[in-house]
Amino acid sequence: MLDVSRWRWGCSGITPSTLSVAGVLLVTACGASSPAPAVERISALSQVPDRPISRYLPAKQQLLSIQRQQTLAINECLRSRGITAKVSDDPVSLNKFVDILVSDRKVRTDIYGLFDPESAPHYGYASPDESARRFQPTVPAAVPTQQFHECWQEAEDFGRGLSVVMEESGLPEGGPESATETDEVQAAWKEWAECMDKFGFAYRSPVDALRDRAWALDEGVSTLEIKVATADMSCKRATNLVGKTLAAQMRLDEEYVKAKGDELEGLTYEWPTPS
Amino acid sequence: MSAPRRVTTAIVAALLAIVGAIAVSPAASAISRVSCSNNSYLWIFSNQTTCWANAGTANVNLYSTHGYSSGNNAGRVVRNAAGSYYFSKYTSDNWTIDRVIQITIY
Repeated sequence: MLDVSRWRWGCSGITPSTLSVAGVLLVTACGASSPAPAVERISALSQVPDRPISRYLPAKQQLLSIQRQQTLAINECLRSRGITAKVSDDPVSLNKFVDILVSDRKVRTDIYGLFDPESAPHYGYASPDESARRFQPTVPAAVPTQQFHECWQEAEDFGRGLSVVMEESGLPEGGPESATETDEVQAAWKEWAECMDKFGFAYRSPVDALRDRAWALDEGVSTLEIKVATADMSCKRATNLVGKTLAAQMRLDEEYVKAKGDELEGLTYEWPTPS
Repeated sequence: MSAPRRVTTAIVAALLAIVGAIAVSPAASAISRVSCSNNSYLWIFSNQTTCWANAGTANVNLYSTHGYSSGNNAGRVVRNAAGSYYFSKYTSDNWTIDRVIQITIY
């Protein structure tokens, strides 16, 4: 059920009771942007809802198909140059990689950083299988490096931006505006940062904690990383950071979907047919 | 759209003037070398660490690299000795010293 008491945007001075009298037409008449989705309390990964743009992003099978088609195109290019050895993709590694890409749409984001309360106390900001977050095609020694690069580029150009790692970049105009600069997200980050400060950690935003370069330079996961990530999850739950930031992003998503509806419905992520 | 992809051409041009010339030949793209001022960029670690933003492909010669941090970029990095691999957002890796010859951000 729609909870109008949670609408925080639109014309000033409009209260739920006003709305109950005047109805939705009033919101339309004052030119307000879309009402924000209700802020839900989110304390577990399983509670993170799909975003309005989620259904327009490439599904796992589409990403696998893109990679398959690109590899076929690379091999066709190599064959045309007289090279019979073939590039291949290890199916197990590729499958894992794509699984993580898809699950990361909720686990690692630009608005709330990492949200995986089950994993963080054990793996910090990394994944249980961090190496699976990278994927390397198998290039036999019989394929000259330069020829591979040229054929990869040829396939890349032919695919017109289709890639196994494409996400919102594949959407019209690169996807919806990020909510990071909105007042709602900035306020949520500030509240979260104050909570983190009580644990002795100074970060401006949860995204800064996720991409702290100290984690990149560490070999493995350090004790400090575990401590920061664990505090991060506690503060996200305490301040409902995920629920608040997602509500702001969903409002922008909905505006984007409304504006780009026809283009979005036309997305197929199909590899072009060779002429 | 992610923040680093909103770096304006003017800012990038100014930053390039500051950091100096580099062997980059963008392939009809907007990928740019930027000042390493933000952890959302793609960082390629070396004794002269470089940072990258915006979607596209750049052919480069980055010597003595030993790892990367992807920030909020998904893409592909090609090394001279170890070949290419795709990486997702918010990943990092350390590798044996190698030359990076191509970078793609999607």
